[in-house]
Amino acid sequence: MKRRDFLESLAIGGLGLLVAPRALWAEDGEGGSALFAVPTNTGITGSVVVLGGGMAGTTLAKYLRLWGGTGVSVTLVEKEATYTSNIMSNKVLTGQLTLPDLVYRYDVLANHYGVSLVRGEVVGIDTGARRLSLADGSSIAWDRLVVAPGLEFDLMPGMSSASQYDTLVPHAWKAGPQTQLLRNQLLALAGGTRTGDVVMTIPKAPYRCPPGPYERACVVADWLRRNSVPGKLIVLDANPDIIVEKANFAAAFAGGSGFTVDYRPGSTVTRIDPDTRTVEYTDATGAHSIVAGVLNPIPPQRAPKLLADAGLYDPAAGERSAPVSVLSYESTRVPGVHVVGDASSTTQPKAGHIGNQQGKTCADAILRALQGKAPDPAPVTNSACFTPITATTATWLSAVYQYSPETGKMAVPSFHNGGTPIAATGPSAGNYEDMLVWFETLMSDTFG
Amino acid sequence: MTKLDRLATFATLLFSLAAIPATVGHATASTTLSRSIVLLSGDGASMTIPSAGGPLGLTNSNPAAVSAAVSGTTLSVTALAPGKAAIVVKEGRKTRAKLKVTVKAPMTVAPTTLAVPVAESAQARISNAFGPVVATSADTAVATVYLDGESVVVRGRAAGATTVTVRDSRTTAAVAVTVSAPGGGSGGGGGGTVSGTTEGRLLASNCFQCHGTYGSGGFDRISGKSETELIEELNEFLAGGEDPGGIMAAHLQGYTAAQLQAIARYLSHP
Repeated sequence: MKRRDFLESLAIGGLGLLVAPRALWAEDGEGGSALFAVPTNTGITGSVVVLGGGMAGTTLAKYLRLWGGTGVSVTLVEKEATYTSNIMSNKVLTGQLTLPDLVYRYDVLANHYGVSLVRGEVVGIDTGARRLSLADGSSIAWDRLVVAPGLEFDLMPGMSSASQYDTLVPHAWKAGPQTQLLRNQLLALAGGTRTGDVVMTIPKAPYRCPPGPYERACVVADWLRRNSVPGKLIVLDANPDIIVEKANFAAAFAGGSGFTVDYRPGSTVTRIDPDTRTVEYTDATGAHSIVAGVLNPIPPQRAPKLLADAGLYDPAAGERSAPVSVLSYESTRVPGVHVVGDASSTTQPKAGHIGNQQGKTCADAILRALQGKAPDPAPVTNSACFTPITATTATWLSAVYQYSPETGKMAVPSFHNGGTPIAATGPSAGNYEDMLVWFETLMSDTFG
Repeated sequence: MTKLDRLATFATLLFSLAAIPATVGHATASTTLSRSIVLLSGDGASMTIPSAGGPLGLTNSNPAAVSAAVSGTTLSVTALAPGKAAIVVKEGRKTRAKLKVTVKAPMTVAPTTLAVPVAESAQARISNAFGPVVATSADTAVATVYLDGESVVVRGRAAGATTVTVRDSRTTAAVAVTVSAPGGGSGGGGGGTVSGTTEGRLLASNCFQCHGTYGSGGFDRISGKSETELIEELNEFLAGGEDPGGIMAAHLQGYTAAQLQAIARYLSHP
């Protein structure tokens, strides 16, 4: 059967729009990563406990063993049995992927790299006694701890319980059951059992994955159009303007890719009613209210309270994530404890690709410390972020961060586009294919 | 709405064909109805013919593919074998309806058994898909699955056996999958041993998200080439000779020449 016939037969299904992802690797590529042996001869010994098996924590655990060797014992403590990727999860909303497609396991980490897995929920970090307390009453002692728990979500004003995200107004900003709920609500719009517009709210930066909300607006609006679903997509952005890849997203919102998005910048949500799906907000022109068909509030995010309780950040001082030295990701508050990924406070975006590199940087610094050496004085991290715009096109954003000894921060250097990330010149099908190679390889460098 | 619900919606669409022309069932004598339909062998469908009340007759271009009969103002067709047929219903000399029928063979998936190592992929071809295709793995701990064009791609996750089910709107096909353990510690997919040098390693690890751990794959394998060859390739990207305007050219701008040299030196002997 030729591809064209296949697509035609797919099209018969109407609502059942399901465009298959294209090949996940390039012709000359190996497809993801190869597996490499854990060396036995590095002479490095030590023991590290990692809290959290997301993009940063998992990469860190893998590279501690890959670079440190069999003399470095690594224990990964994770609440869930598997990881569900946030990256690509907007494609679950459009039916192009299902949640099981995004599930990654810790088998290779455990069986090949020899990381000890402990499944459990950490409820306390005792930095004095150097022990983690788990919900089942057990505890784990550490010599060196890395905290990589991701983020927690604030309640939107007007909400009474976080469970309302699970049942009524999913944020779906952590891939999982809420992603499926949001998908189902969109299908209800398509099926006519719900009516109205789709309203998405974006919190003030910093939040996880800067282009993510704009990406979601695009792919959902594209899905609404392709499936002739009544209702438009309204974005209430607390930021004064699109915060990243502005040219590409603004062009798409204005109709450049076949759909439109009603984008309302500078909109501060003052109250939502999860039961009636009402959102109240203010902007420069005054106070407004919308009753939505589907309401998708993306809440403000912060490092888990557990970290504040351990003194890793200070909510009373207005902090929402943990300050660290970006040479080693060691906490500036608690020596011997490192924080990587979204829960750390740095000038870098909170996102999986850069979390992976933070994990490597932290692993390298810990291995040096175990040998009595100082961290690399000039670390570099990078963010290569591909973003679908429609079911068949994507854009990308490239940023390289160099350590500045003057400020002690990571920054895009002046020789990289005058200190500004570089975006694709527009969405394309070629970028979409590259996106799938990127995703497969990133996940393979992390979990494989 | 679940996937199954969507499939049910599809089936309803398909077999409610008769309901569509009913809205023009009492049309004026000048009406000619044109419809097309896709059926699997054994399926039946019917439609109401707009007529002025006279006797209706029909012609069938391919009786081997489709049988057709008219009774009163109802045209009934039954799909017999893959092929196409044009059914024309006339009232006297006036054409009242044209129905194009495409009869498809049921979906098949081949091969029906796949063996794949952990962290590698294998695929089976889907033929004659009818409507939306959904592929699921009975045990996503052992293997996960996704659709790529007309192929179903199975990726090994852990040693074991599972069944991948491929379903279109009408047919379900199964593929038995056996996942074997990754080979001997050095792994598949071009893996192997590395020298263990640390000079330039952390810097070069910035490449691994897109080019695989130790530069072993992804967009393309970048380890094991000579330092000179790698520098030449990087310079070609920077000069716009390779994928101008692409992400690699953008990305390279963020590194100093000395850093690129250190990366190339490391990747030549990781």
